[in-house]
Order: sequence, then structure tokens, then C-alpha cells
Amino acid sequence: MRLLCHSSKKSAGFLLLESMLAVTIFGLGMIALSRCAENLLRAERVRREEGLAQRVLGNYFTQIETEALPLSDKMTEPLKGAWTGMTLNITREQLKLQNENDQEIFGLYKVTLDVSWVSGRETIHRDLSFIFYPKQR
Amino acid sequence: MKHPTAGFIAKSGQGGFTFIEVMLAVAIMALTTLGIFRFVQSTVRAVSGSVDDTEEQLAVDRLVALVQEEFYDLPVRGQTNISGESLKLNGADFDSIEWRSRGGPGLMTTAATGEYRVKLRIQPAEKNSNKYEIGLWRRPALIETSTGLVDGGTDNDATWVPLMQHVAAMRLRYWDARLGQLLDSWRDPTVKPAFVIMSITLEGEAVPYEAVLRIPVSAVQQ
Repeated sequence: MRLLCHSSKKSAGFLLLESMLAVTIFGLGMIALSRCAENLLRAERVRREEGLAQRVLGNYFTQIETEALPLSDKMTEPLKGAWTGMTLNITREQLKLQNENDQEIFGLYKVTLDVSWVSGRETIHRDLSFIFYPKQR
Repeated sequence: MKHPTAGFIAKSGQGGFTFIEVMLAVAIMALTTLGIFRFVQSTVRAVSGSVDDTEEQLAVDRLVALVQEEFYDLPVRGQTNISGESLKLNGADFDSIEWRSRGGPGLMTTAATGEYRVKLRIQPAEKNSNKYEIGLWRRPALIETSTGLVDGGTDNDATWVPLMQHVAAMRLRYWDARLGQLLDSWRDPTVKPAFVIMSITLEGEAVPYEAVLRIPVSAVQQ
């Protein structure tokens, strides 16, 4: 009998502080859960965007290698279709290299493809650099 | 004799909850549960949609890799021509491309020793279906016999290897290095395009996914 009455004798309900504490713990739990879900979605989105970026870099690399895409020293192209929202920057820089007889090699370029896009609140860049030797026509 | 708890309940007036309090608590609990349920449901739906998108993209990437591997493995000499047909039905592209292949894992013919004519094309998943799939139509071209490899095989010997479901259209364009432009079809048996642009539109998607497939230089310059 004493045990039954023990808790109710002192506090018939919860104190405001206890209730506030419970609500705070619950709120923190909800925030953690929403952060977890948000990160999950973000990871999926980044994975998809990375795949698109890799594909676009590969596509442009092939077109440059086959000389289907005329190059200038600096080009910027907003991408369309599945890549809407991404921007491609192409830079070409002439290389000054020498052969085994210390003669300059002409016509060698370093090409850098840089694709950038805004993901959430940050801008992401992915780039690909390669040496390009156009056919002498 | 007085009941031991009776005095306490009467005295404080709050030994238990009133009906209204219990109802209110239950209502708050129900609303909270509903809120959590909705939150979890929408999150699961969003994650599921995002995973589906990624999976579709990966499926296209796998298809592109498989066809690219086939192009890298084109026989260098002999009848290695590539041909491509352009077809439009109800505004959608149903293009196809054909090449000669030695077989192998990319063609699901690991046990084959001969050669195949292979066509990548889009066709209904079932007869009279409006669902389409991309696959490889493979027809034997060189068959191994006791006397060696001989020409052979008919369309009746051809088999279909489905590679990708839930597609709406497939467009193929060919880069002609001599003309310096993209062509919708390729009929010249003597030369090959420098690259092929493959555009695949998935069901429910408005824009296609594009991939540029390289034809190796050794195969182009014959």
C-alpha cells in the first residue's frame, strides 16, 4: 500500500521540467532522424550527379580525341538534356616539350575538361585532363 | 474502514487522469504518430525514387559499357563493316546498329567459336506490347565445322538477348570524319564512323541519356 501511494504522494503528474525534458529529447531524436534521411537523399543525389559528370566528361573526351569538336583556348558550354544545370569549361594550353634531340615538339596540347554544378548549397567540380595531339592537316 | 488510497485520491483530486486528459493525450499521441508516419513514408518514397533514378542511370551505363566493349573488340580485318538504320515511329526513334562480332561474354556466347552478325535494337518486350526493351539480336555468321569455319546461319537461327527494359526510344547518330558531320544512318561498308552517339530515352523521361561510343582507330583506319 505504501509503495502504491509513494510516487503519487509526492508528484501526481509530471513536472513542467520533466515534460520539457521529454519533449526536448523527442525533438532531438526527430532532428537526428530527419538529418539521417536528408543525408541519405543527398548521398543518392551526389551519386547520380557524379555518374552524369563522368559520362559527360567521357563523351567530350571522345569527341575531342576524334577531332569532331573544334577547340579554342577557352570554352564554356552550359549543358542540356539530362545534364541541364551543369556547365562545362574546356581549356586548351599548348605544351612546350622537347624530344630526345632537344627539339621542340609542336602541336601538343593539354586539354582540361571541367564540369561544375550546384548540388544543394555547394558547387561541385569534376575535371579531366589529357594530352591531345591533333592530326597535322 | 476507509480504503487506503481513497483518502489520497479525494484529498489531492488528481490521483488519476480525467477522461478529457486521457482523450487529449491519446489525440496528441495519434497526431505525433501520424506525423512520424508521414515523415517516414515521404522519406522512404523519396529515397526509393532517388535509388530508382540511379539504378536506371547505372543500367544505361552498363549497356553503354557492353556495346563499347563490343566496338573495341571488332575484328580488325575482313567483313567488319558497321551499318545503322534510322527508324521513326509515332515521333519516337527506333534506330538500330549492326556489326560483326566474335562472340564472347559481352554477347552471352562464351562457348561460341564462330562469328555473329549482331544488331542492337529496340523492340516490344512481348508481342503486341507497348512496352519496349533494348537488346541484341545475334545471328550466326561463321560456324565452326570439322573442316574449319564456314559461312552459315540464317535468320531462323537468330536469338534475342534482352539487355534493358522500360525504354521509350533509342536514337543513334554516326560521326563521319570525312564529312565532319553527324549522320542519322550508316550505310557505307568500306569505312566506319569515328564514333556513335547513342541516345536512350527511358519510360516516363522527357530527355534522353546520351553516350558517345568510340570506334577504335585501328578499326576505322583500314
